[in-house]
Amino acid sequence: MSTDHDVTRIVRSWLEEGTTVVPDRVLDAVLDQVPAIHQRRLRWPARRFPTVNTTALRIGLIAAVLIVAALVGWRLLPGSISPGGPPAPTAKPTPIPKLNSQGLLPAGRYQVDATLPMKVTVAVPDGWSTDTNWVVIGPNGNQAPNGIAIRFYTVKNLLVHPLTPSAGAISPPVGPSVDDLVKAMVNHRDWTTTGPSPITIDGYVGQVVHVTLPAGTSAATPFYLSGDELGGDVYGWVAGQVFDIYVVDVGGKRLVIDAFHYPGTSAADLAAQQAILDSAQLTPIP
Amino acid sequence: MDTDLVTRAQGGDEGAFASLAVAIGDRLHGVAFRILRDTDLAEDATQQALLNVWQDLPQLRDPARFDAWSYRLLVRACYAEGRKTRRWTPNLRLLPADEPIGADGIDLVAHRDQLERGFRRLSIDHRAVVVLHHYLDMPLDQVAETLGIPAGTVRSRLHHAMRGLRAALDADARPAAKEAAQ
Repeated sequence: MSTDHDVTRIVRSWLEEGTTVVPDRVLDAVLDQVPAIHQRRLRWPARRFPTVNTTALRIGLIAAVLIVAALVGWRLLPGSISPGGPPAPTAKPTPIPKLNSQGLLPAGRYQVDATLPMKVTVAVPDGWSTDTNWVVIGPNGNQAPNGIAIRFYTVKNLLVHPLTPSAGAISPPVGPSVDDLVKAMVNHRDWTTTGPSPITIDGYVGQVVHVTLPAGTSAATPFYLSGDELGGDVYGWVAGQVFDIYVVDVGGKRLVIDAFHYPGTSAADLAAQQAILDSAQLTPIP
Repeated sequence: MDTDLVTRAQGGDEGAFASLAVAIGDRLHGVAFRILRDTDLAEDATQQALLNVWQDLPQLRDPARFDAWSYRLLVRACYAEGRKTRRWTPNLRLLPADEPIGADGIDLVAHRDQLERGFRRLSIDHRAVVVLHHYLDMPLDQVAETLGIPAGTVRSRLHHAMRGLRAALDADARPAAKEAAQ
């Protein structure tokens, strides 16, 4: 058994190995592209217009108003013929930003930028943030005693021992359906669950299982709900941490959403979490 | 970092940016390689990070924070490269026959494969924390600031990552120990 000190020394020595010099071709490629790339500048305060001849401005404005009024009146006359021409342009839909940055999120709808087999968007209220590309974190962070967060992923299988990931995944592996995964969670000897209960998210049916992490869970011994190689790399790190795990069938593909909180999380944050879940829009990817 | 150089590059001075790119290129590439464990992916991430540095430099409010800011852009580029492809093929390296001992006397040959496997099982999030802390010697609060995440999350990720690496080392040590016992 290695000590922590041994592991640190070995890892540090190992990290010293390998390349430390960027190839010239990389720098050349960058410097070749720079002249063609415009820098993104901060927005400045609205520019002040210089003083203009106000008489000319008034005449111009009056003329413009008269022309617009005449055109509108002509179109509204009974029996008048539409001037035709191309239809008025419709507003282009604003692209939905992706949850792929880190930090505080302006309120709005975001697309979950994880490697998911379906498109997922959620409406995020003020005060929430994102950590990586598939996590939405509440106003008080994601740590105990009052944090809250939502994560989106897929789960291919569960671990034999959630507190001992090195023991590997259960065999035979969990099947592909919602029922398969929910049964595996509920029947797992190391999982303490309540439910399942039927749910619907954006019209897609699924089930929710509530899990409270057992005594013995800590940052030193996290409880793995899944593992990286199993599709999630998802874990909890506080005994008593509560997970609502939603498993949804989106056009034949399984989506897993874990909405977690702590006993000290406020009712307002829980309501906001529920609102985010209720706002989810799911679109199958053919 | 020379803040005058940063300021001039912020103003659109391409010559100043070229000097910056040369000054930081090696460090960024070294970090990218250690996070991604793939030479081609690391080159792509470094190139993209440098282009992003040029493009977003005017938005950096404090030129004195250039180093941390550039590492943040690099880690984002590594996320993007990691998402773009899952070709985590091992980089094969021919080792000299007389290279069994590391700089501080550690038998790295015995551990290299285990570490490589254990490290590849970690997410990019966890790898970034390990590399910034153990390769660049960044204190944990500076890692948190660089990555824009809470210090508690950094500690948790580092703990999880080191635990995984330790498990990888111990997993290969166990059969040998059993054989020795027999």
